[in-house]
Amino acid sequence: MDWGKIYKIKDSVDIYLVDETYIVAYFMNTRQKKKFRVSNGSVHIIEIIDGINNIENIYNTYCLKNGTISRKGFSTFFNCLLKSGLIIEKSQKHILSSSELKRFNRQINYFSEFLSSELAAEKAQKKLLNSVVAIWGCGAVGGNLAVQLAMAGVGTFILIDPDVVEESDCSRHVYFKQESVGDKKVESLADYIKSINPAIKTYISYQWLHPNADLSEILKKATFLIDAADEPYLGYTANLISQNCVPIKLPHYIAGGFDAHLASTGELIIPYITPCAGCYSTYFERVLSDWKPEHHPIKNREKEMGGLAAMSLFSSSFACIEIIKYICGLKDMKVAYKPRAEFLFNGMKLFNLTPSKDPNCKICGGADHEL
Amino acid sequence: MNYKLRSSVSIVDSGGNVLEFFKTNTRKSIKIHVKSPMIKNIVTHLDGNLSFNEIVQCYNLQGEEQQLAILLSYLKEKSIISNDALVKDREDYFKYRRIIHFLEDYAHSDELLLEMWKNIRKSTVMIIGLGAVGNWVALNLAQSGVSNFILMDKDIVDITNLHRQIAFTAADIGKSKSTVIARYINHFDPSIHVLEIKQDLTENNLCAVVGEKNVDLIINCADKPNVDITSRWVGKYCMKRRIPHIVGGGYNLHLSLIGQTVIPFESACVNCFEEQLKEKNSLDGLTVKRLDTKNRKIGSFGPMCSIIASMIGMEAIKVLSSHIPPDNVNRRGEFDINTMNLKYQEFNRLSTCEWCGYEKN
Repeated sequence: MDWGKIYKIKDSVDIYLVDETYIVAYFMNTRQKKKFRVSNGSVHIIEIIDGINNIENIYNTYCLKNGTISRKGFSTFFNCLLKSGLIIEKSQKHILSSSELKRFNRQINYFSEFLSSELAAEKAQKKLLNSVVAIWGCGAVGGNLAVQLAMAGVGTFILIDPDVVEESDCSRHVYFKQESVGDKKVESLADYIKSINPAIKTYISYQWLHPNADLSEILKKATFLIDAADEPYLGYTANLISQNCVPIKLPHYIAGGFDAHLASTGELIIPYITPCAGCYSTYFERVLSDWKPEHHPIKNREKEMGGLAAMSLFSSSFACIEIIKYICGLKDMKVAYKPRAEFLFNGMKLFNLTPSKDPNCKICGGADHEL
Repeated sequence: MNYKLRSSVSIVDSGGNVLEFFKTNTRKSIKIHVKSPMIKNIVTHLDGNLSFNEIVQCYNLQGEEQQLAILLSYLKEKSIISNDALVKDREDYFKYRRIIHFLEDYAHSDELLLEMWKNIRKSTVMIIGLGAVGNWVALNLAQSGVSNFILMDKDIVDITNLHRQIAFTAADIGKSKSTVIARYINHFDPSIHVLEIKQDLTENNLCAVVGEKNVDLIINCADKPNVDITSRWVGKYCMKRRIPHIVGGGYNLHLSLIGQTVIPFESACVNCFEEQLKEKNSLDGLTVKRLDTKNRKIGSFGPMCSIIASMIGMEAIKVLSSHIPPDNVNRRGEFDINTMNLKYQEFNRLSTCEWCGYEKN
């Protein structure tokens, strides 16, 4: 332990002393509650951690008032506070500009609940600013994700979609404007996210996602890729994306929120660690082996499918949280990643799927990769 | 009328004379026994081009007419066969067809689908507090066909709002929040009517600002002075006027809360919840002291707010349709960012409740 460091109780943590025997810490940002049995002395230590004095001074102040205790005991207790996330190291310097700090202040505070120093929280924000996120498919969910990630601070986007804005997109695309009908979707979307934050850089492409599409330029630039393209259908685009991203270890997200899965969560794919799109295909082949739909009698049935903006927003928000947790390192997503789930409008509950990594997966299986 | 299998319904022949109909919008399955191969064949080919008599003729159906008639009327009632004949002629069908075909999952007749859609179209929604949650809810509902809004917020757009509050751009800084949102939702449909109320909510000002106007749903996203107090003010007012209301969530100190939907005098009201929360949260017989920590500053995170907003948006559509029962009555939820799971806590309507109880003094 470095006795010269300065700590404070996290801004978002409320601490209560109950019956003089234990303390309850409420983490306001994430609404978690932790309980600790404590002695009188430790309560006093908590009360004098002020974000101004370093550990050495706090130790001295404590000993002066309460009599000398061993440095080892003091340091054990301090480490325990740190480990349980009650305190955070103050930072003396900033790595973000003052305008970035102002814009993202509340979010950096939120991040700090997962981290152990103010500097680490700023670094987490910096990771977003430095990210280059490619989004394939800029419809309801892809469009929402671009906007949500832009608000949160992603610095650079590659937006890919061949389509133009149609009148009926009004009910689905958050960036829809009546006067943009007929314009390329990626252009409307790029203009919109730059109006939120003029510092954002955008690259656009009108490419269809097909087996011969040349992804090399995009894969070279992107630090993260999102698949929100559901034509001809999502399973197809997901496999194509994983096939391209897994070998070069590019993390990606297969978004939910498409026909028949209007509020599904999608899934984060960390190559060779989480199940990839190929593993999901194997999983569905197994669980849906009896599911053989008849040929549907209606031609152009896609014109009569349902959907609500609020359901797309569920899918995009869920994906956005997982993506930011991963990019910013708020959680160890190698363990904490969440497999796909279906959110049901009826009942408002999540139905969790249980895919696993397929050792024989054509995309990620077989080879022995280091973790 | 012609019979058409709905586009969003998939059929699976499960074998053993069982046909499964899967409503893809709401992911519900209905399985039925169909013994006759002929009838099975007819049902899987309902493309909307034939009337009942034409079907009978075309398939040369003999002796099974009655069985077919019963089955078709059952499938129509279960919204497996389409009920969109009356809405398709409407001017707004093309623009809002996805919403309409979603509602169709709950329509057992052409008339009912039209009625639900009209209910949503003509409804007035009041949103109190235009921030990370209220803005998304306003946008979602405008996109789903709601055409009258009352938007209440006194604030102007600040740079610190932009990381989480949708619809605000860098150029909007310094402008009135309600004006910016009104302009934004008019991009979706210029005929949307917005009444802006540039005031903070207070204990008694709802009566004055709403007056005699008809309001179908109030969504409380106001957190000044705090959520518990604003929910009480809004709840009390709504009980008096019997207006359904949703207690938001997703704001300071309640970032992951999914507030309840209240249908006055049918489900637990804000006061019922509060009474039961007091019990649940009390640390009986213990002395509790808040330790003095220096500054209390709460963080915020856009997508956590918007995931709550999405659920409020779905509940709102149910309430506004008047025919889809809302799910978050008598309960409130939490979305846990660590596990990415949802949990609900159940509450009851209290017979002794001061606001809505039938045994109150």
